[in-house]
Amino acid sequence: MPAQAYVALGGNIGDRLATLRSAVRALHATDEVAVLRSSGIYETTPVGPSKEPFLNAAVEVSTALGPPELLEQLHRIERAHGRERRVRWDARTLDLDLLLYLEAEDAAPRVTHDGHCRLPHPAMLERDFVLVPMVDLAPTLVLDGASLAQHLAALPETDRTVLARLEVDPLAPPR
Amino acid sequence: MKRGLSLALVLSTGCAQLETTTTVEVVPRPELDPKWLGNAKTVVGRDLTVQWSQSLSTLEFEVHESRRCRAVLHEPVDRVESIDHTVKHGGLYWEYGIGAALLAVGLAALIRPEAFSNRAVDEGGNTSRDTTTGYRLGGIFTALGAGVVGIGVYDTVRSRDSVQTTRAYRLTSGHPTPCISPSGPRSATEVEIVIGPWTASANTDAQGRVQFGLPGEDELGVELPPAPPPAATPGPGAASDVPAEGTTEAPAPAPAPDPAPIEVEASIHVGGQLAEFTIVAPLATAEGRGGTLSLRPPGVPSPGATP
Repeated sequence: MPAQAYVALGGNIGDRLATLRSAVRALHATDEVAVLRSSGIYETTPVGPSKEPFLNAAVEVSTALGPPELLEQLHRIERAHGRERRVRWDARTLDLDLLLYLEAEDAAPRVTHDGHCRLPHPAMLERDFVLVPMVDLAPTLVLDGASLAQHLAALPETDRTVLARLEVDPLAPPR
Repeated sequence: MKRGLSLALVLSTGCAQLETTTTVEVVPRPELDPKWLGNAKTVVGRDLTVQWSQSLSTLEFEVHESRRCRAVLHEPVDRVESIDHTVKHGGLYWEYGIGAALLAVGLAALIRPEAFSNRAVDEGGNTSRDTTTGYRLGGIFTALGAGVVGIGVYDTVRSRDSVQTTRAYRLTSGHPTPCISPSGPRSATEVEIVIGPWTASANTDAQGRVQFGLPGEDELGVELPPAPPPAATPGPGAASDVPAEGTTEAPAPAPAPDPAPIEVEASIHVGGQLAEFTIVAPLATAEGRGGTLSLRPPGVPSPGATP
């Protein structure tokens, strides 16, 4: 049975919408990965030194790859979109993060602390630009004793960054 | 230096570096009404208060939850996103300039190949030119020039500015409001008590109540002060030692006094929040202790605490 994973997408340089859609297509075209569903696309204020607003989304994928292999594919797609990993929270054309990995649809999220591949993603409960798209996909998924919707509700107002929800479908074919 | 680097990039990768600037203009759509969604339903905060009481060695708690809700304004808008592309360090000029120069040399070599050829003099003193070299150079330079100009055209297309209009909802958080069900007991929640080295935990019932039986002072790490000496008894022969007239009973000995009560620090942890309070020891005589606690997240100093 294929595993289920959730991937966060973000970017704030260039044609952000086209980049996110291109990344979703590239992910879907990856061997042994299929994009099942996508959240809405949200515009968010940048955190850190970057000035331009981000577009953020999340996708649910079905995959036969293990977490390290899936992460490697995400990095490959980032590189193909001109991403350089430099300063944390800095501007970037594309950022892909593996948030959660479930062995099966109803399984609990896998917990690993394996070098670069830490699951669940250590910062995913701290920022609404990850939680808001994730609540679109899995509001009742329980992590750290509370559902993702509860985690989002508990975020302090000072950590809120979402400006707008775009009326576009990340899975739509290119224009 | 930068120009040299740019030139090197153009020649090595075939493409100039692009710098992009995005500006977003948000235009409301007056034909659609904004809507407040989640009003009195979207819980954004939970304040916990605890009523507690100590009766002898029993601690009783009642956990109460006050919920705060917030509505989010969904305002239909058009987002007009302008993406300006700028070729870094004049990359396009380099591409067209180098391409034109190469083309010029190549075309000149093709039109006047003899100008690029060696002159040969035969035995009769006649001069002739082998134009093969000229044509060869002309072909190479023309191909190179066409290629570089082609890259310039590609980068020109790539660097065109674009404007996209996307429909969106601008999201604005409203002020906190009471929720539909604003408060109530916090049931089925783990409550942990820490007193010195001793800890215990239990879940609240449907009314948000939970009770703990405290162990002896030793287990709580409490050192009771020594009991004060009993009241002095009069010595033999003292007047009070003489039974009252008509009675034959000896006076009852004075009861041993209890140690003076002391306060013992304790803390309660509920739902990731905590509060400190003090119980009274010795437990055998502790009565009527209690109060209300407001829980706070860890790291937030307790009210009245000095920084």
